[in-house]
Amino acid sequence: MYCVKCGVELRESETKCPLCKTAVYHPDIPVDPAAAEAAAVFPPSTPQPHAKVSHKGILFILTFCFAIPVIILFLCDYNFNGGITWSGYAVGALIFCYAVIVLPIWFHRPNPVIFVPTSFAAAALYLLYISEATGGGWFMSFAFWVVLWAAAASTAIVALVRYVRRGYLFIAGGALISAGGYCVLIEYLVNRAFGVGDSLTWSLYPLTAGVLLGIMLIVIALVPVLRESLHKRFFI
Amino acid sequence: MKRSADSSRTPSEGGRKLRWMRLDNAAKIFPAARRRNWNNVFRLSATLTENIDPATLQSALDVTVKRFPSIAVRLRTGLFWYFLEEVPKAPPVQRENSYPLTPMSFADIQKCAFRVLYYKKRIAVEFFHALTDGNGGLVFLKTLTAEYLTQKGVDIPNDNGVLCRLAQPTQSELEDSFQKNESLVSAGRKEAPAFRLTGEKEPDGYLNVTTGILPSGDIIGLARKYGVSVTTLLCAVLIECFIGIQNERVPHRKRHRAVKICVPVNLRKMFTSESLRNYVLTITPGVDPRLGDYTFEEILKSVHHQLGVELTSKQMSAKIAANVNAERVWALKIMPLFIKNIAMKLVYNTVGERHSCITLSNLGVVTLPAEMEAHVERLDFVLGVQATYPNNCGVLSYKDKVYINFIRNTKEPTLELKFFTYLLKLGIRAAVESNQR
Repeated sequence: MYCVKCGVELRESETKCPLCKTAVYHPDIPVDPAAAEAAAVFPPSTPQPHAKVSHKGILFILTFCFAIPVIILFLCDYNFNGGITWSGYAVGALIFCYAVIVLPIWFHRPNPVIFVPTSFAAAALYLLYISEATGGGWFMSFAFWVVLWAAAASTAIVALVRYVRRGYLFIAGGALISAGGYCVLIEYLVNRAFGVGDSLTWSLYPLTAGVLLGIMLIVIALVPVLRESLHKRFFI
Repeated sequence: MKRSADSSRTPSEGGRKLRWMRLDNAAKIFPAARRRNWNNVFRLSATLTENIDPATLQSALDVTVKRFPSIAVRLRTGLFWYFLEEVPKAPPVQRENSYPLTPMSFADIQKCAFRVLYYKKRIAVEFFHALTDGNGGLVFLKTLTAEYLTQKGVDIPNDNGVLCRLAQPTQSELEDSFQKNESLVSAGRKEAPAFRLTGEKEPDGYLNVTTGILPSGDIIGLARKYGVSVTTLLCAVLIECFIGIQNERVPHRKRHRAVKICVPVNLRKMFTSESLRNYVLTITPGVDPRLGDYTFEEILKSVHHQLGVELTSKQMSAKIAANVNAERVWALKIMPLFIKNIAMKLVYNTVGERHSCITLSNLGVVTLPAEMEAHVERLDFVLGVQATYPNNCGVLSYKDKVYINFIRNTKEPTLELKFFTYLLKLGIRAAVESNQR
């Protein structure tokens, strides 16, 4: 008996080819379960004990390592100052680090498209806390929009790189233009929130550079001849 | 005091003195490298002409274990090292499971580090690798099968690897031969990482075994045609297959990795040893696909010459020296076992399996006494999978057939398909059987 697809000879025990999974079938020969059982190389499949390996133990230890300084900081601050003062900043930083580094590891296959915006959300909350604790009142007028733009741009880049897996020149071009625009936003928000000035000055330079470089990359991506020519002249 | 004198007896368990011994040099890594669902194990089996009688097999095992005090053992934990201790009585024989080499947990190994299984006409022995290697295991299987047949009324002489069950084990059988044949110079261990075949793992840990049965004459004829040994030929075919798989999976050549095969070498012939413990070292012939495309003839030539350079007693004794010297470092010796375990596991996980794509272990031509051959239809050798690499391959030749056993813990038979269809291309048609679900 031979496999009609890959050509190897099949022993009587095989009901399909073990290599290419093509079913062994002959219309003139009826399947005899007793004969198949007699020819079986091993007994029928029975479940065997198989311990599932989990990394949760390590994650609990890591969580514990983060929790200990948090508790110590709170206790020290409470003992010395009778409330939460400076410890809030340190604890906020620890929670932010935990959300960025450890939180994704709890998931089987952490998706960066989810965890990048989550990390920015943690950053926004931390900044909100600082803004409120210091009485700065700059969160909604400045920090929120800075974080929001950075989160939207980073998530878009990560999602494109992860799911499109091509057109890297387009992505890089778009990222450069976005970075230029980000500088303008920062200057505008600084002016508005803190009253530093009333017109855009320095941010126009990175915007111009970002837009020019971005457009250049997009043009290179659009014109294969140019891409080839540049590759020929500038290879390292 | 000589290291071989470590093997001594301790009073225990009902007054009988149980022999204990240190792990040999090669075995020291195996208990430390263990994982929850993985231990380094291998299996040898003999298929007889008649169905196995479990009661007779148990009786044969009871007799045989006394002759093999270095194999019929359990792993015990000391303060600084693991050690092996003779089991007070033979373990019960068991009916086979739906796949070979089902997980041998560490708790099992601490009770008895080998097991004897039967199914239809087949007797199989699965060994924890710290006890012995394929050749030592083969002597155990042959002797067990001979004792079984003797109890069934067949007269089997004690030759061709069948030991007399009534004789006392000799000191040379129990020695750690690594301690005797080291050179003054240690061989370097640095090697480039090899390509790693990946695939979707079987969720319940099921191990798929695919056996190719080839006519010996055909494969020896082909090897002779190319002027190489059978191991070299099989090694080259495997390299050719891995190169093909890597080309399909890794499109950029500069990201390719070396394709190397781990080939264990039996040192008993090279250094004239009768040890039944581990006495094997590995070499890793291979090619680097980043250098360009290789024809099959080029691969064959490269593997042939690499094996020629490495397979000398001087090179091997330099490799032995590297391993033995590491074991003799005082700082390491006095380190408590749990710290040693962490360090050794770290080393194993970092570099232990990175230097080769697969292990190809060829036990060569196995012979039995003529009286026994009439009752033994076939022999098989199955290596367990490695901790991180999904495939392994065990080969032996018996009577006029070569048995190539591939094992894998993944669903897709990618390597097996390439391997057997490539052999077909070379003019050798394999008969294939498996335990597929």
